[in-house]
Amino acid sequence: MVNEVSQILVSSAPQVVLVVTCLWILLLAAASKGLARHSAFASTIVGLFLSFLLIVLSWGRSVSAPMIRLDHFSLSFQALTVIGALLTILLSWEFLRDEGLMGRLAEYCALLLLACVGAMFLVSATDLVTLFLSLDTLSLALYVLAGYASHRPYPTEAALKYLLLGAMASAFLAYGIAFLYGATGTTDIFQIATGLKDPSVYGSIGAGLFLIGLFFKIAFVPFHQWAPDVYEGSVTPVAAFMTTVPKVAALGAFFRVFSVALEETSVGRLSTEVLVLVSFLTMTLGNLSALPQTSVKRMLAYSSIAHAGYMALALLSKTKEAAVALFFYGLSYTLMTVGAFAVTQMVEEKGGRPATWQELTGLAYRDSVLGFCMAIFMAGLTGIPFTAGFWAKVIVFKVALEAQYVGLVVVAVLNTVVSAYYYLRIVWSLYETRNPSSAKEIRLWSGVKALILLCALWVLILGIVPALVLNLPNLALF
Amino acid sequence: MPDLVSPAAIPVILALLVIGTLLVALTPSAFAHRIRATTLSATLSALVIGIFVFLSFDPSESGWQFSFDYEWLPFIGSRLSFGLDGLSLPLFLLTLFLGPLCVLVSVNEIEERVKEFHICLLLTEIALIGVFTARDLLLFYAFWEVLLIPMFLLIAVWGSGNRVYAAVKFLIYTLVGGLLMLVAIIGTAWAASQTAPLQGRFTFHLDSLLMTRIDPSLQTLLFLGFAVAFAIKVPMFPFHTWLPDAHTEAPTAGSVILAGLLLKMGSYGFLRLALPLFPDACFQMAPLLAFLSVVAVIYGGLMSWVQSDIKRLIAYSSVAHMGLITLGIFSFHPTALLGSLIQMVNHGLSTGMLFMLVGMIYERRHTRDINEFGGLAHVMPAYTAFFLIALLSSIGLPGLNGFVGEFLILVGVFQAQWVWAAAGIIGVLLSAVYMLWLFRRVFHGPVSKAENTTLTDLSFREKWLVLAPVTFFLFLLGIYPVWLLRPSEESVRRVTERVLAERASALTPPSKVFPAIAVQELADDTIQFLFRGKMDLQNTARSGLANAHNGLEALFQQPFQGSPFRFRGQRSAFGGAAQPFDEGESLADRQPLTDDLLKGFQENPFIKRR
Repeated sequence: MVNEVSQILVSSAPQVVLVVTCLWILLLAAASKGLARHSAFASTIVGLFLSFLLIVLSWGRSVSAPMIRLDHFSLSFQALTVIGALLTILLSWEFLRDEGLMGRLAEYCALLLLACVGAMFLVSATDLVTLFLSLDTLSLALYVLAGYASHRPYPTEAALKYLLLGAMASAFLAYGIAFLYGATGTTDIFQIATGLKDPSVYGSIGAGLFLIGLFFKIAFVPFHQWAPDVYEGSVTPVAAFMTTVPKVAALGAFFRVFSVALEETSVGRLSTEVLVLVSFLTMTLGNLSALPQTSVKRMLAYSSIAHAGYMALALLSKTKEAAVALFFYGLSYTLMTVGAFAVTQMVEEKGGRPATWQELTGLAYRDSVLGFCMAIFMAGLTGIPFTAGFWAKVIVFKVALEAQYVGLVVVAVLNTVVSAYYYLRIVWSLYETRNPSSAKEIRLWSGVKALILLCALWVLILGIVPALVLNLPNLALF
Repeated sequence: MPDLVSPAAIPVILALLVIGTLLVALTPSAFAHRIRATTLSATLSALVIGIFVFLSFDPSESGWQFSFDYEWLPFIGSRLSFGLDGLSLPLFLLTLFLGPLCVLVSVNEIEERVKEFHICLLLTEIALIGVFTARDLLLFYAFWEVLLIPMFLLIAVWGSGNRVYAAVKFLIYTLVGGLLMLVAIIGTAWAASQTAPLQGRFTFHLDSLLMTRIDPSLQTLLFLGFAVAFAIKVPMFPFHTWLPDAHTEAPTAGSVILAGLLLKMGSYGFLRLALPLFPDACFQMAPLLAFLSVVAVIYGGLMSWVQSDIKRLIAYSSVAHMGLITLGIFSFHPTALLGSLIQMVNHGLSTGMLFMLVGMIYERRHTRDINEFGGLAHVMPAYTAFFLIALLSSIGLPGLNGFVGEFLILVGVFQAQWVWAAAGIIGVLLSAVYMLWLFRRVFHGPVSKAENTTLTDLSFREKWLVLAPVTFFLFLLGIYPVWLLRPSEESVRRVTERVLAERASALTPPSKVFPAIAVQELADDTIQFLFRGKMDLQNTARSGLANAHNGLEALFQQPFQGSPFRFRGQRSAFGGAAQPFDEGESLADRQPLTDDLLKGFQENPFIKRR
């Protein structure tokens, strides 16, 4: 017993650090009556760095504790989560300061860390109960984060929508897990795989409900309606976080469950077919809905739905390479999306509605660095070569083609063309010379700008030398 | 010494241009002249290295030279691999040559956002050099696609008139083609990894892929993926509609790059990738593609005829000229292939020069409407002279470069299938009609508009720095083309040999792609009716002449049987169709047909009667 507990603690050391930081920040806030903003902010960053360091240190080890598992797969996705959280917190400081939202900064930081912990447990869960618990930890933190700045109408609407639909999704998940337990007598994904070998109605119902719950969380079409409103309504740094970290983490968890528990069973084959359909719908509808959007934030919200559709291509082939493809896609997508949100945030009106793409007109001539970085992010999201987005797409397409999903890849390619229209429209407006009258003032935030530059730099570095990440030894699930 | 220097040549050129781009990016926007000077020196120094590369190029070698090979992404078997051979050398040189000219020609035209414009120009040149020298499919694709952004911005930001519409149309068309090509590229690598020589090894390197023979049943599908991308870039007939818009609305330098270099990416792609990788599919699809080329030649000519915008007229003439080039490629005849390759350069020079000239008059008059002009010869004599030279070169007047390419293409195509050549000649005739009519309307007659009386003639920069170098090459290539033909001969021969050898080892049934029986017949004809001798300009010219006589003779003696496409058994100068190749036999093993040919001349009753 002691041995097991210590094993769990060791294998979840990065999460433990974050939980401790989270508690420390809350205590600090209580002691200083919410005035210790700088120290809360600094502790968050230190905690995230420590956690990242622990992940790097435990790289190469493989620990199998009950209900969770520490392997390269979970470690890489955990690192990704920490990077996403780090980017978000750096994005938040200047924004919250200027928007006059610093009042509850300590809670903001604590919730962000909590969400991060949830996401990290999510990707290492090997038991449906852990999976459910970590997903709910993540979601609960996000419900509150979505409603940050609750005196404004949009965040409140976003939080309420997210809470109601998210709770329903959780119900589906719990119900599905109960059915799966009924059918197989276990919640361990490795044993479920053997339990599901004999087809049973309860098993199918359970898997179906479980998948619907997950689809809700990832915002796959047709379970995506909540997503654009929530992403657009939340304050921009939170939106940047919500479109990246929870999504990628949920996809990672999905990948593990899908390739372990549902592999080689009739239920698994059925859900593969469902996933093909869902992936098709997600990218197509996501892209088509992004086309008419004028608000950049809402456009990015729909584009995040579409990208989940592309990432679903990697889920279809349950190989080692597919895990790498999913990770690389998640990483480059996170860098590009956070960067794009950061640029949007810099031209956003104070306390007002988000910027439209017309308002970006001529941005590159007013601040060439910012304009160039935004162009890089848009090109990357389109999948133009020499950006990380290109390799992400190539590898995902390669994996899916090898698994013989030719039709779906062609659909994905045509979708990329559709997406090019709305992404490159922004690039054009950045460099447009005429009618700059609708252009807005750029905010002077050196920290956010440095962050944008960092993201753009990494998008380019990964685009030119993708081997940096792709050659990490044994980045694999098994 | 060469071991160290030669692999570095292409990376050094790319690095020079990248450094130039960074320097321009770091210069403050206010220093327009410094930006122009930096761009010019970067492109000029790249050109100087290019000239050295050309001088040390070994024309007798058919393989890669100046090759640079480095691991890029072992995870999926992609390599950072550059090289030059006879196919890429002419286009590589053309890119380097047009680079500085594009900077010089925009000095007056581009006055705002100078910095961003020149960054776009440099990025375009980098991408083009990458496309023309890449030896790895993924690298090729990367440069192919990255070109899109600067080109899109060049049209959409610095263009005129309906520029955004034109740019978006260009973007969507090219992107659709490009991404389908990406799927085909991954598919090719996968299909190749299934074959024996690679044994499951996944690679995108062209040399490794060429060691394999991809399953013929997969070839058609993969070929289609590539062909759509190339056909859109060329552009071939049903995919051409982006071109007139993009050319018309682009700034002058943009038009020069579009017409001079970007279109060549398509035809180069056919030569470099489609023909050697998918010989069986090429044979199947050749009749269709040749048919579309001929349609493009005639349609482009007719459309040019009715344009009232000078730039649009030249844009449509590009459709016609590129049609002739693809026709040459899909005749699979070495002479025609060589002609197509050289015609790519010629078209780049002459059409590029025409676009520069149109840009110059647009700067002065702010209109390109033909009806606004008339009698310009009285006002701008030097301009008229240059325009006439470029125009005659575009028509294909002997002594100028256009003639060499067109003649070689027609000679080659004639031997493969004289009907195609006949249609091609209609296109050449049409080009004379619309071009000379354009010249009459714009330059001859009295000066019809008062605004035109005050136009200034060409400045020193326009005359001596921009137009004179191009004109020099128009004449040089027209009078003595061998210096550029010679290095390409071996590579062209290698491509044809590969296509023919592959074809001989596995004959597939004619295509079912195009339903009409007549076209199936044509497929057979094209396949079987290939030139069998060694490539030799003199001989091919002579045999072409003999064929011409025989063709005419056949035409007079026996009218077409039913369908206008069916003329089986009437076409050969040497009695009967060409024999297919035996196992292991290559083109070079065949006895040259010169003797046969001469005998044919002597015994030809058509000649004897004279």
